[in-house]
Amino acid sequence: MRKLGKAFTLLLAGALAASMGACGGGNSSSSAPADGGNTNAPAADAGNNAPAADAGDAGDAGAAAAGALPTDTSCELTYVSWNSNQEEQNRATIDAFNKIYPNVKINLSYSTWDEYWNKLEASASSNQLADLVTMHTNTIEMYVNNDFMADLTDLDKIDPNFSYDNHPEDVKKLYRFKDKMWGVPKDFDCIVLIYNKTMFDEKGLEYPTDDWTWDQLEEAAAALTDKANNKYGFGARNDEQAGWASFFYQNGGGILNEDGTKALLDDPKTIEAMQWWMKMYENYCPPMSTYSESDPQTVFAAGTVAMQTIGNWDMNFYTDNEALAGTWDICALPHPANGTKATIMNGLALSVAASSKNIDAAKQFAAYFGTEQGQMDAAMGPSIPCYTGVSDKWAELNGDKFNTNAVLSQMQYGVQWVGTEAKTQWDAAMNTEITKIYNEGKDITAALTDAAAQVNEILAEEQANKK
Amino acid sequence: MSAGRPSAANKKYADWAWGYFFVAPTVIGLIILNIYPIFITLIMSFSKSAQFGKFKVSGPENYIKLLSDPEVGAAIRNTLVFTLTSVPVGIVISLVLAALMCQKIRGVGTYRVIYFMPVIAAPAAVAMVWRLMYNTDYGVLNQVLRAMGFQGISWLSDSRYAMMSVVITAIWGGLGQQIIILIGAITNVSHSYYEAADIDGASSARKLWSITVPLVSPSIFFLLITGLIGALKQFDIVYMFYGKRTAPGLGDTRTLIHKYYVEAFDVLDKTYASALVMVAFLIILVFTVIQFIGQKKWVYYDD
Repeated sequence: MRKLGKAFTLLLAGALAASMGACGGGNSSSSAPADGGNTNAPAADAGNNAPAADAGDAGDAGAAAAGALPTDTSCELTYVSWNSNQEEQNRATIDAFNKIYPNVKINLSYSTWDEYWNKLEASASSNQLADLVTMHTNTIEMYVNNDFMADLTDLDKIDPNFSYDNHPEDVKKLYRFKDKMWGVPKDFDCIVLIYNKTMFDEKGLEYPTDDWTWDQLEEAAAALTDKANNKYGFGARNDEQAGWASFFYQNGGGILNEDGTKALLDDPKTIEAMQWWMKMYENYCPPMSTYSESDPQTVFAAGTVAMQTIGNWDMNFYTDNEALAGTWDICALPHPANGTKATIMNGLALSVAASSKNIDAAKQFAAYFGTEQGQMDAAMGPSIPCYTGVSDKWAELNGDKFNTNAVLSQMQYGVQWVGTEAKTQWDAAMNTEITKIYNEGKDITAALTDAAAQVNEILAEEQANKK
Repeated sequence: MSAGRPSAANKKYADWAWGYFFVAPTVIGLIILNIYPIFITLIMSFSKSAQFGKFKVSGPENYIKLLSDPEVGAAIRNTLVFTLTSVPVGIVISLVLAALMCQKIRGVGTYRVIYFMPVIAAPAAVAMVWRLMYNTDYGVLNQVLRAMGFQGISWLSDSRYAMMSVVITAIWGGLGQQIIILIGAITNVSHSYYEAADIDGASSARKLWSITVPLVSPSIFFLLITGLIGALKQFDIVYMFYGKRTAPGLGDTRTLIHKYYVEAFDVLDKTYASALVMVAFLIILVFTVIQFIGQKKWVYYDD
């Protein structure tokens, strides 16, 4: 027994050392495999663009002024968001706000995309929602209908610089319910094509352009694919928003019809687009095991694929990685020769919790956030400011890093990312069926027909509940 | 005991009161954290989901849906395969290692520390590290295989190996704790039995099987019960390996609790998730009852 006692002492010592190691390791890489949607990219490089300097740069755009809230107000606000690669730009807005309201302390915290919605739902259910909440079109309607969000219609009354007239209608309408505004438009995103210049150079191929067709993409992908050496032309991975969805719309198909009452998944145009996408997957894409075992950004950065679709929110992964500088660029998504150009576009917003204990301060921040100055503060980040004119500033700040024009030009024909109140349910049904095409070899037409039937059933129930 | 103390009746009352006082923290915790939620879950499983955790009692629709959901059947099968391989194999390996580590060999303390290490790490961290090792393209396991002239295998994504990979990780993660418990039990076995066996010329294997195993059977029973219950609730390794929905290999490893998690926290259908977790509850109950009946036959309590 004495011996065992000694062993335990040793164990304890070891435990201390090892648990520290284990925790550190666990935290720094705690992301589960990506399931599509917005995956968390590494945090922004701290050395890149000092926020203060940028706020100063933008200072000529118009001096920030105090609003209805007394400037000596002292309180603490909680502010939650996902995608920590936008931390730098969000902090810049907070810092500038604190120049006017130095005693309003804003505690910003991030979760990964997956965790964010779990936490938000749990905190709402227990009535402990954060004061400031980053909102998405997938969920806003559900939160508004359950009275969790504060009405932000009259923000112009508390901040003279604020006006909804400055925000694009395309995004405003996504956060307008019952003729009231429930979120201040924050930023746009869209899907672009990223390509590996080095791999194109090696084969002596022309780089992709904003006007490429599917056929041109396929031709290049075929020339770039060399399976024996683990090189692939195009990453047609199983990803909804950043993958197949844009291509449905380009071909005249889609996910849901415009008023969100019926699935378009069994539309012949959608099926045709999915057939093309799966042809690309089978011939020019690494196996799905590669994409599920490593995240898509790593797969591209490793030089395994030459072209890949990517959400612009993930571009920090490349802009912050100096080793990759000059080896990549982006362009608009290719389109079918007889179809239209399209990309899935979405607009995010900043909302205020109805239950906030410091609701006046929270609204004041939301208003500042939506002013020209507030959007200018954040213009150096990867997301595109949602304010008429500020996107030019964004293009100027990022123009030396990548083809910002590809993003701006796509905004002209972006298709709004669809959301209804029951999205979590029909989205799961749709993804389950499409995953069967990838992983079980299910027939494409059968899978999409089954998916449409399930989605329609859920939508019918949603409509029935509304009445 | 009570001789010489005043008023036996009062004393008895005081004993009762103190008894309740001391068990109160556990009992209150059990009621609030376990028993109440079980009943709410049962009610929810017969309800229709509304948003933000609200629900309306309706009827057995969730159970009907459950019967027609092909993922549920697969998840139950996967859970049983996982449990019935990882637990017995894990205990046998632990027993052999524990017996070896009770020998008088040099550096036995070091071995004990090494085998206990995985217990200290968070299960999610263990799964993360194994996920890196299993990686088809860059994982250390395939690098070793390739260096030896074999082809790499898709440990996680190939349906032939996916479950095996999960089982290996689970066994590795559980060994340490099982070994420590078994070492404790083996150390308590009286030496006279082994001396007698030595005189009769018994082999080491024979001593392990005929002396050690029966005498540590209460500990084995304890490990079996906790192991089976833990394994039937497997979630973390599968989730860390495969995420929620799209990964190849998930179909061969998705457990009942993983399915429950996705329905409850991704699809946000809390009532369907409640029905799933009631099924898991029933399965665990059946396993536990069988074991408690079975233990009378093979567990030897040394009184």
